[in-house]
Amino acid sequence: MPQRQTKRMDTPKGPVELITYVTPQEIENWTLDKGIGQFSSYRSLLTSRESLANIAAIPEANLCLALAEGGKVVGFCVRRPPQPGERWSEMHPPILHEVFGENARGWRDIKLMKPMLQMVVLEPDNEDRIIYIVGYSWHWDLDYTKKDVHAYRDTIIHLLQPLGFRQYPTNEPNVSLRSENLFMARIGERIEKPIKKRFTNLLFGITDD
Amino acid sequence: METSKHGYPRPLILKNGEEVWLRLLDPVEDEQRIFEFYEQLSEDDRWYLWHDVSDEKVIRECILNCDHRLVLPVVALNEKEDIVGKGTIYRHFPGARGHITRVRVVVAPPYRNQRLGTYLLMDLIQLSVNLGLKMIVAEFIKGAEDSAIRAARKLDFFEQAAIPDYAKDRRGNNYDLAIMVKRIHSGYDDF
Repeated sequence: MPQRQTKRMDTPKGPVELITYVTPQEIENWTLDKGIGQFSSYRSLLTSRESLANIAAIPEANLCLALAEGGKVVGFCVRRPPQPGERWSEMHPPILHEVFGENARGWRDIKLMKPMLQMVVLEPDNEDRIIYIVGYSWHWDLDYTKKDVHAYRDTIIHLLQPLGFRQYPTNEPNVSLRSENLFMARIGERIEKPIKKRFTNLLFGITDD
Repeated sequence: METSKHGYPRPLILKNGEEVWLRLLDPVEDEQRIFEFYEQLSEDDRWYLWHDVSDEKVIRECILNCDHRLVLPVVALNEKEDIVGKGTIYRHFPGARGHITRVRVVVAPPYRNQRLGTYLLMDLIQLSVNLGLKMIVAEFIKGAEDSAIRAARKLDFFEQAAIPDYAKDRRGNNYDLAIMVKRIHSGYDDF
């Protein structure tokens, strides 16, 4: 049974509590900061308590929230199985899990994502999983951060490399659409060679052994 | 040069399901392998390369012992650890052309039509992104390297110029040179 973790952060904007394995019921008591879902060039699907509660309700998922004073959600980080229909859902056994997250605009420069990622990624059970992250350049908030695509991309790489993620090549069409896009994965220590080979095959759309 | 974030060795799966691995050329460990790789190329293949790779001395000087700050050769190895493909990034010193790279890809005859050339080119593009480069230039001889031109087009290279009658085949016929460019975007305004 996975264990909930909590961590208190003192930030320039006040204390923030990070909580893993948040339940749908808990989310009902909190509100979302208006900066959640604010991006330069795309509309996030996770902009309501309901959408976060739907993720929290997935049995295999881990939803980590960053809660500011007054029960305001200012960031989240999620580990969950891939969405049906995506190439990554075709992995057998189903050990691929996607990680993604967001900090609310206004809370994007106070280093909340690194501890949330550490809590979500470095769980012991993840040594039996392959965790991946897909970085689409059109999702990145270049206007607010004043970064260009390369600097934003480098930030993500520097955030994830110390956690054991590395870049992998893939011909998955959405990732391949732009050379600036990123696909990174972390292969758990207990993953055996035949499974690694299956993952390599899947990177190139081959699902048979 | 910052190549560590690129994550070599990188696995690839070819069209026939074979696994090959990409990594940077090791001038010492790969010496014999690279000689054997170039030995497989026909005279016609070698005719269109930049160096006379039938001469081991030239391979040592131009490929193995070149300045690896400016020339980055990437090799694809099969399960037997034979080199089956090679892609190269040619950079400029950090001046007016410091943001530009030229790329070249060569694939061993038994590994052609297995997408290895395309995947090597994809890897060179991603390596260029990871190195912070902004423009990739590839030169192809029309009529002799048409499959490479098609692969480059699929990866968003655009023909920016053509030089008529630039190259000659072994019988003296003239061929045009296509100069193809891929720009790496820095912001949304570029899209």
